[in-house]
Amino acid sequence: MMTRAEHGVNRRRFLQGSAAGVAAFTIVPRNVLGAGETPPSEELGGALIGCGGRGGGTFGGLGRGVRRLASCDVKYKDRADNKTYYTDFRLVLERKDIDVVAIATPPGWHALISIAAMEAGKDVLCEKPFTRTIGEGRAVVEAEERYGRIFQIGTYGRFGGNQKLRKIFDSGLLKGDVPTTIVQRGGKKVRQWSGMVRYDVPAVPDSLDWDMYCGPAPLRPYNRHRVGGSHRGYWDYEGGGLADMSHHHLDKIAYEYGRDDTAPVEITPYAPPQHPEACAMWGWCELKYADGFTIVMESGEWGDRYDRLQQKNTGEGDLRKLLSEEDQKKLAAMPDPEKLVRFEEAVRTRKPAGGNAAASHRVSCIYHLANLAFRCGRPLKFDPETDQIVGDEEANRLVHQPLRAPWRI
Amino acid sequence: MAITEQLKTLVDQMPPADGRGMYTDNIDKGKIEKAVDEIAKGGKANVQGLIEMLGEPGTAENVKPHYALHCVVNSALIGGDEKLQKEVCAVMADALSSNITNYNKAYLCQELQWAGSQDNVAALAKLLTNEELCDPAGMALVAIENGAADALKKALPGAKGRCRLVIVHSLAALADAGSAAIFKEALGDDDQEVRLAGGSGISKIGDASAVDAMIKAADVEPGWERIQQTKHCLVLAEKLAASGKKSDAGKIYKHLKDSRKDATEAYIREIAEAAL
Repeated sequence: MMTRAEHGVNRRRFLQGSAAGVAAFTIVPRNVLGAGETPPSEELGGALIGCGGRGGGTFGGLGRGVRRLASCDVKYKDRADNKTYYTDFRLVLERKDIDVVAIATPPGWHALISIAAMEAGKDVLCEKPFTRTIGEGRAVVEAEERYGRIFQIGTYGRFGGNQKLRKIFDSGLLKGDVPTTIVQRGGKKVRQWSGMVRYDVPAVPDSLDWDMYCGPAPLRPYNRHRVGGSHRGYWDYEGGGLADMSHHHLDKIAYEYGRDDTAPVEITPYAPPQHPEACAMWGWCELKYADGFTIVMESGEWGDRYDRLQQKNTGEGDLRKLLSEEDQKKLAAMPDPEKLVRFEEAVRTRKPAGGNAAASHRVSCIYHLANLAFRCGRPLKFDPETDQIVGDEEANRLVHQPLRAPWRI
Repeated sequence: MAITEQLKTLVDQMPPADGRGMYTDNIDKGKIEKAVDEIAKGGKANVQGLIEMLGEPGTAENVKPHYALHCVVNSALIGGDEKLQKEVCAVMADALSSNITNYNKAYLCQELQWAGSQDNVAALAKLLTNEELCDPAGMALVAIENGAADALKKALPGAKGRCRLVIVHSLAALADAGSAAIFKEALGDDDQEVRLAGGSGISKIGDASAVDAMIKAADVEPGWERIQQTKHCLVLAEKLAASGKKSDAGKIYKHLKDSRKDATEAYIREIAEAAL
């Protein structure tokens, strides 16, 4: 008799085959089950890694027909049985009956666990922000390519994106510079997701594996504010409100304006000198692409208001006007962009998910570069081909940050 | 004592933590930058003074000098002032062998990770055999890169436990081709983490002479180590193929194709088949 583990894995392997095969494998027809129920033969084994805050919601994003077989969190020291509750994600990834993994840890772990999960043959839905650094983002893209696994970021702005706009950029008909400026103001929770510079250092709670919590980041003295949502305020784990909120804002913009395979090349920041560990206030950042397309991110929470450029040429009509009459006709004759594939469908069909790692990496470059420029306190130039800051060795140390042993990507 | 009244006055210009213990209220960019410039003008003595002013983690007395020191370090980079950068880093490197707390030594390692150079490698390397400080020292050395591998290799014979792991891990992170023998030896270590660091190093340097050893290291019981060393096999094969060593790469792919027969490793078999 086939075990549940074999069922899950065989189904996954099977799903990479033909549609006819999928039909043949559905042993229990849906129509004999209650509405909305999943036949056991279609069920996937799922794990949630990082069970606080967004954990439940992220797991739900795996879709229907996923049974949670494992829950892993570094705060489960008092209940870990290494059967259903874990503190060490590596033990979860060793399990053969886990097919899909939802990751909702602090973002300092996102890249490492996403990569490890794909190396273990799992498909991944990872909460935003994508990663903690640009270098980590590049490594997730490489893992996605090497292992052919499904990766989807846990935000879906691009799924509601304007396809007509995207079509203009996909068409290749826009010639020369793109005279679009988008001023994205507010919504970054900068003050809310700042870190503490003065704090107490109590004993580590018995239930928490603090070393594992810090993971690839430096092992700091324990501070309650570094755990439980407010981790967002520390460079070790995230990047303040800018890193936390921007993937929501930028995912749609990057999709619509065809920014999924490149990144800004000139970054101009306006912020006070930043703290080495705690994220804090900033004013705005201007991020210009090689083709002139410019995104301005303004906090609206600190300093003088941004007044260098005005928002312009953002609409479909504005951009279509840049095309000759002949090119407008060509554009009209072209098919619309393919509909983006959601995670559940991607797992089933093995088509890349809409918010895959490659696209997510390019979105994350925007907010990482802004944060980098704030931290460095100087304008930066970036080469999207190499994912390197140009002519600034010290800034590059923040692009590719060393990881604390034994963690590697 | 390098703490002068003038320095104390300048440090006091840094913003105080607000009611939440954060830097979110009354952050005056111009005032901070002006005070930081003045501190930097005082050179070595002021940097020594700042280090002496550092306090215990999270305490009120630590907040301003901790922030001010970082701002001074970064001001040298903002201004492209290499002389100031070297001077500030030299003072911090010297302080690593002083009697300040390990918390503050770790902080200085972090600042050297930010702005240090080959000049500071020797001072950092002295901490590689210190169980509490080998991590921040190793991370700083990886970031500095220039001259780091030699210092790490020199420290290895005297390192045990965590320190030994940090050194092999750091050499792997640096992809130091001169550590090929260390990586190969690490594959047979008693410590799984050291074995994995060795595998990582071999894969990153694309060591063709380690193909058989790498394959053997990946043929362990199912679990984390097998998954990770298999990844190192794949990366090694990619590197070898890219450098024209196609038969070495092919040996790895053929082995993975023939040995990953279980349904749960079919994805590895498929990768290998596609590459052959």
